[in-house]
Amino acid sequence: MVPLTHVLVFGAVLFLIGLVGFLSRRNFLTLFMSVEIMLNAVNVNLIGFSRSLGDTAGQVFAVFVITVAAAEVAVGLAILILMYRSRGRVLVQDWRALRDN
Amino acid sequence: MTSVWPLLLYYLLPLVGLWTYRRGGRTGTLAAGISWFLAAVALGVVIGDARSFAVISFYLLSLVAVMTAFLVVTGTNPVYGALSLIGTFTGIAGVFVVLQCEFFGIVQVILYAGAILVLYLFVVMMVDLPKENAQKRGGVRGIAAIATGLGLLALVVKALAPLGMRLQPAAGASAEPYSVRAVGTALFGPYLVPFEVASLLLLVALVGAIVLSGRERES
Repeated sequence: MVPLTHVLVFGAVLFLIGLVGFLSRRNFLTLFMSVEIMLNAVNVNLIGFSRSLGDTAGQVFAVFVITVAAAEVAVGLAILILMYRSRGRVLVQDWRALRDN
Repeated sequence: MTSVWPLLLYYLLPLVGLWTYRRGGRTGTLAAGISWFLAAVALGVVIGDARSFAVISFYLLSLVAVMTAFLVVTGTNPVYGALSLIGTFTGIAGVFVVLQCEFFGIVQVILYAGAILVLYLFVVMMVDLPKENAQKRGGVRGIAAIATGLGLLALVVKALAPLGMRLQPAAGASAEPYSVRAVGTALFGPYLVPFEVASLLLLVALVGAIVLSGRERES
């Protein structure tokens, strides 16, 4: 049996890799991939807890996380295509419309 | 000991990533893969129950997932990033199977590696991205991000270290909580309303994506 702590550490390492990628990259596609990695890390944690506690609730919430991830990717990539049409590139620094001047 | 090894792993990651990138080619990748395999087996022997194959494969798969996630984050070409993301999802699917959640292993492969990754690749091919300049992604921002990640990881590991012994199965836990039947019964029983709300969310996302990406035709 794998100890729960190691599953949680695996989830934490994955999450923080995704977080570092989200904070340090400029390309929107890479940002979305980092978000996917973070959501997957949350799933790993949920399923690790579900297995350790013998409760199905964790797996049910993993289903909801997958749903949210799919919705986020669909809408996000649609916005990305719009941005590419208007700017010709998909970098973070191009979006300044809501910036506080 | 438990709190130290993920930090060591995290410190080792950039070296391996850079090394694979610099050497390129088949030999560098193969050597990196073999070294990761040996490291995973060593981790399984040192940390876990060495007699069990499942434990060793957990560490092996989690190292594959972490390594490919690192490649996703560090790479400059989004196509390679998307392909590395397949490795991450497959590794996580294997971890789910090792954790006796076969249903989620299958869902992970079909939904993430199958559907979402294909969507990413479609978009990558559509938008024709130029290669991101490698010099531009370092700087204060990158250092701050890495410092944030390391600090948070240290905090999380410190919080997790004493947790392992205290968690006990709940009193009313079902007999076989990992089977597909148990998940389905829970999903369509006590969690029916959130499940329907989730489907509504998917519908809204579907309409939103169509409206956003199909606006060109109107004008």
